[in-house]
This record gives sequence, structure tokens and C-alpha cells, in this order.
Amino acid sequence: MTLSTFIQNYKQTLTDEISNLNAQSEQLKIENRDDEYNFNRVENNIVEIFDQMFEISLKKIKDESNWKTELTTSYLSFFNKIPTAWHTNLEKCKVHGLEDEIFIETLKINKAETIKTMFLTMIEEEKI
Amino acid sequence: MEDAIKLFKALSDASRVRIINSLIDAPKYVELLAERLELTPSTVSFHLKKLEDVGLVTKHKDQYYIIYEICNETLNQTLENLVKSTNSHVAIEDAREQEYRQKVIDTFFKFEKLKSIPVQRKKRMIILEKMVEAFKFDEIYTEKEVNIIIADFHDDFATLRRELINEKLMKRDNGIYQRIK
Repeated sequence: MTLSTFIQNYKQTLTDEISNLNAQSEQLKIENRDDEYNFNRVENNIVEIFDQMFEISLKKIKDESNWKTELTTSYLSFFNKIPTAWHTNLEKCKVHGLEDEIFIETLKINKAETIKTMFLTMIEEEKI
Repeated sequence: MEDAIKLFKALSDASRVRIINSLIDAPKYVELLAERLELTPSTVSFHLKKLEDVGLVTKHKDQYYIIYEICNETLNQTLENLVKSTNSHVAIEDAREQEYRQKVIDTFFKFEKLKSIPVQRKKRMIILEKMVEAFKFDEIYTEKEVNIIIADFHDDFATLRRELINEKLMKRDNGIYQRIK
């Protein structure tokens, strides 16, 4: 598969995820499930962040013949760097017993992990 | 009052109301609630913590599971009882205000005489409200009569008479004074 096809497929996956989350958030708002609506918005933000990081990673590709390696290295570095602050916050929140914040930081970390897994799965499928 | 507000906030979420409804049927553990209500276990746990914080649910360990159940004592409270607890806060504030008023009166009055006219408006108002009780409603007074009554409290009857008018405790119309209801 070419880089452009992979980009199309991966971007579509992220777009679909954002659409699903938006549809869910509308429903949650209607049903007066305010806390879950807020959680949904947090997850939406995480997907959008890593969508932007994907764009940045694409721009860093120097050798298109080696795009899988370069893209993976660049993109995964964001999955290492960005959640660091969330992990730090999570530990501080645990110390202070801030239950709501613990939930939110955990949600962010888990969502990032889900997106990373999805990317790795799709990249692995390319190697087959 | 703050407890009542926390309780109302906890209940102002559809998922938490559904959880309560489900627990009214029977106590349940998190995963079962999640399955029945089509929520993730972590979301259910989040909501249960909110409900536990306001005393609506309790939990206990049963072998491998933590079982949640309704706290009937909290759930069976009437709205009136919750509102009454709000009013008791107002009653406490009223009592504090009364205590302050009495303290001001005790400070500025000696043997029914005003020792000095307070500079602070709030304290002056308390003194004036105490003094104006010497006047009857629905009775009219000449300026001379007003001066005599006020002079019983303090020599500076002119200032105090003026203050009673300014603070709308009495009204003056063509030299005739009357206490305002």
C-alpha cells in the first residue's frame, strides 16, 4: 500500500471516530448525562490532538520509500511525550484524592493508548 | 444547606438516576450495572462514587465483588425535610443578626440613654430603629413632641430627628411627623 492510501485510510479512521464521538455527545446532552458528555468531549480532544500530530509526522517524512519506519518513529514519539504530563497529573491527583481528576486523566491516557494501538495495528497490516 | 445542594447535584444526572432505579430493584456490583445500563464499568464506578459521597448508596464486599445498594434512610427523606434543613441555616443567620443588634444596643445605650451617636451607618441604623419604637404607628406628632421624645435618649435631638427622616423610619409633612410602617 502506498503512503497516500495509508494516509487516506488512517485519516478516515480518525474522522469516523470523531464523528461517532460527536453523535454520542449530542445524545448525551439530550439525555442530561452531563458528566458523560464532558468525558466524551475530553476523548474527542484527544483524538483531535493525535490527528494533528499525525499531520506533523507526515511532514517530517524525508524518504518516502521508507515511510513506514519514519512515520512510525515520528508519530509514536508523540504518544510517548504527550501523555507524560497526564501521568504526572494522575499521580498528583491520586495523592490528593481528587477523584474526578483521576477519572479524567485516566480517560485521556486510555484514549491515547487506544489510538496508538489502532495506528500500530494498521501499520502492521501494511507489512503483511 | 450544602449537603442538600450536593444531593440535588448528584441527582441531576440521568445516568445516576438510572443507577438508583436499578439499585432500588436489587443491590448490584459494578459490572452488572454496566451491562444492564450499557455503560462502561469505569463510568458506572464514577457515578457510584458521586452517589456514595452524598449517602445515597453504600457498598459492602461479598466474596469477590463489591456490592452497591441504596441507602434507604437518605432516599426516603422527603423534599420538605431537605428544604427545612435549608431554612435552619437562615434561622442561624437570623440569630447571629439579632445577637449583633443586641450587642450594638448594649454598647451604645446606658440606662435607656444613648451614650453617643454611632458613626458607622449600620450601627446608627440599629440605634435609630431602637429609638423609633418610642413612637406609635398611626399617631401624628408635632416637631416639638418629636424633639421631647428624642431628647429622652440624647441631647442632639435635631441630628437624630433628621436621621429618622433620612433613614425613612419617620416621615414629615408640613411640620407633622409620623412613624413609617
